[in-house]
Amino acid sequence: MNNRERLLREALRATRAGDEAGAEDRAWRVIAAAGAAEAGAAPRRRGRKRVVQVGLAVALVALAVSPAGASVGHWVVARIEPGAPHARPVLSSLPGNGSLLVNSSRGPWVVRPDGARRLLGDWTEASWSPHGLFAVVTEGHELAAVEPDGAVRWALTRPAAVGMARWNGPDGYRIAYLEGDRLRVVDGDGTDDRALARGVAWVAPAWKPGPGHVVAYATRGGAVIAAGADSGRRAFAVAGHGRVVSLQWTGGRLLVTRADRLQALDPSGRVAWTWNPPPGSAIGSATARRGRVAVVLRHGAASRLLLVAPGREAAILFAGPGRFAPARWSPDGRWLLAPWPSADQWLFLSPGTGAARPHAVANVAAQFAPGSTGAPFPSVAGWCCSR
Amino acid sequence: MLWGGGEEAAGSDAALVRAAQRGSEEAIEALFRRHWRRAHRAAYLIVRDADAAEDIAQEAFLAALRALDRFDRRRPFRPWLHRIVVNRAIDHARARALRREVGEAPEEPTAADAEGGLDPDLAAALAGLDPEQRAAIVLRYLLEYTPGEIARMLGLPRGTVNSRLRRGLDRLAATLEGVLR
Repeated sequence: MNNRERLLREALRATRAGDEAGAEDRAWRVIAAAGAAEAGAAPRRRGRKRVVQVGLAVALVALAVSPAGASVGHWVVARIEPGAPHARPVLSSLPGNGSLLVNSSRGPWVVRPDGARRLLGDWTEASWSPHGLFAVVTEGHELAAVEPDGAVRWALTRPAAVGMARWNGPDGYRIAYLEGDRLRVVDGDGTDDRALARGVAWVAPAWKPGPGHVVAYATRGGAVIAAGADSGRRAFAVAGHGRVVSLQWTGGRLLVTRADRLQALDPSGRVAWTWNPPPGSAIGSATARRGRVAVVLRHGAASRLLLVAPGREAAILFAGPGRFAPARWSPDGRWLLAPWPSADQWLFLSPGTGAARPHAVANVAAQFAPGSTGAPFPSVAGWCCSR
Repeated sequence: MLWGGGEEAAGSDAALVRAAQRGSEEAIEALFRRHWRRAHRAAYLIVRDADAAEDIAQEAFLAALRALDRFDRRRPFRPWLHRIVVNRAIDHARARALRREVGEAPEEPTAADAEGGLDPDLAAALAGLDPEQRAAIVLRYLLEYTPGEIARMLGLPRGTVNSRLRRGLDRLAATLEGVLR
C-alpha cells in the first residue's frame, strides 16, 4: 500500500456515518423486535428452544427474498409479551407541539402538549378542524361542531346514523360526513347540508387541500371517486378491487390504502406510485406525511410499523406481537404516535431525528376511561396544529 | 473497539456463528455488535446518505441473520455479510442515480456530511465515482479486503476490480490533493 492509499484509508476510517451509536441501538432493537415478533407465529425446529424467526420480518421490508412460508432463519430472542420496556405509567406530556384528539368509550378527549386532558362531551367520535380551532363530532344521528373546551357551536340531526366527519382544509368552509351509505356535505357554519353521493363505503372521506372543495370517497364496490363538493363534478373515478381502508391527500396525490396495496393517484386519477406488502402480510393502515407513509403491516399474530416512501426501501420502525392501530404523525412531522392496543401502550417514535428508542406510555385505556376497568383501547383521531 | 483487536478476545466469528445457529441470543448480539459499525459505515460511504445507510445495514443484517441456519460455517462470516451490505448499497445508489436521471433533484448533503461525518472534499470526490467504483474503494481501503477477495465477493474478474480501484484512486487523487496530502 503506497502513501496515497494509506492516506485514503485513514480518511475513510475517520469518516462517521451520522449518529453511529444511535443507529446501532435502533438497528439492534428493530432486529430483536422483528425476531421477537415472530415468536410463536412460525414453525419451529425440533430441539431448538425458544426459537424466534426473523425471516418474515426480512421479507416485510420489501427484500422479497423468499415466498411467504419459506424456511426462515432460526435464532433466539427471548419471547416477549406485547409492550415496550420502560414505559411511563402515565401520559405526562406530548413530544413537540400540537394537541391530540382521542376517541374513547367516555367520548373524545383533547390532550394538550403538557398532557392535560379535557373531555369534549358525550360524543362517539371527533375530528379536528384544519387549524384545531374546532372539532366536528358525531353521536348517533347527530353531527356538531364544538370548541376545544366542549362548547357546541352548532348541531344538526339526520334520520340515519352519521359518522366519519371530516373538515376540509385549509379554509374550513366544508365538512363531509357519512350517513349510512350516503356522503353528505355541510358548510362549516352548519348550513346548507346536502347529499353528494350514494353507495359510499364506510371510509372517511378525504378533502383535497386547496381551492375547489374536492372530496374523495370510496364506494362499496371498491372504486375511488373525487368530486367537487360544490359543483358535484367528478374529477375522476377509479375502479378498484378490494376494500378501501383509508384515503388521504398528500403532496397533491391521493393515497389509497387497501389491504394488499398502497396507491398514490395523481389529480387526474392516474396511478403515480404503488407499493405492495410482501406476500403473507396485509396492510392494516397507512398515514402519510411529507412524502413518507407510516404503514402498519399485519402478519399472523404480529405487527410491524414501516416507513415507506417512493424510491426507497421500506424500513422497519418497530415490530412486535399483537396488533398496532393506525399511527399518527405530529403536526411538524417529526414524531409518530403508534398505538399498540395489544400492549395497552402508546409509542412515540421519531423516525427522522433518530430517537434511539420509542418513548412508551402504558395504561392507555384506563387513562381515557378513569374509574372504569377493562375499558376499550381508545383510538387516536388526530394530532393537530401548534396550539 | 471498531478496528480489530476485539474479535479474538470475544471469540471467533466461526464460534459465534456456531453458537447462534444453536440458538444463542448472546452470540447473535455479539455478531451484530462486532460487525454493525463497519457495515453501516461501508454503506454510508457508498450511498453517502446516513439514513439510507442505516436502512441498508439494518436490512442486510436481518437478511444475514435470516439465512444464518443455512450458512456454511466453513466460510468466513465477515465477507459474506459485507457482500450483502455492499450489494444492497450499490443497488440503492444505482436506483438513486436513475431517479435523478428522470428528474428528481440531486440530494443535498446530509446533516452527517455537514457535521464532519464525511470530509466535504472527500464527499465530492466520492460523488464523482460510480457506485461500483465506490464499493471497490470501500471494500479495499475501509474494510481492507484484497483485490482477489473483492473479486470473489462481487463475482467479478480480478482485473475488473483492479481496474476499478485504479481508476477510482486516480479520480480521487486528482480531486483530493488537499485532503490526502
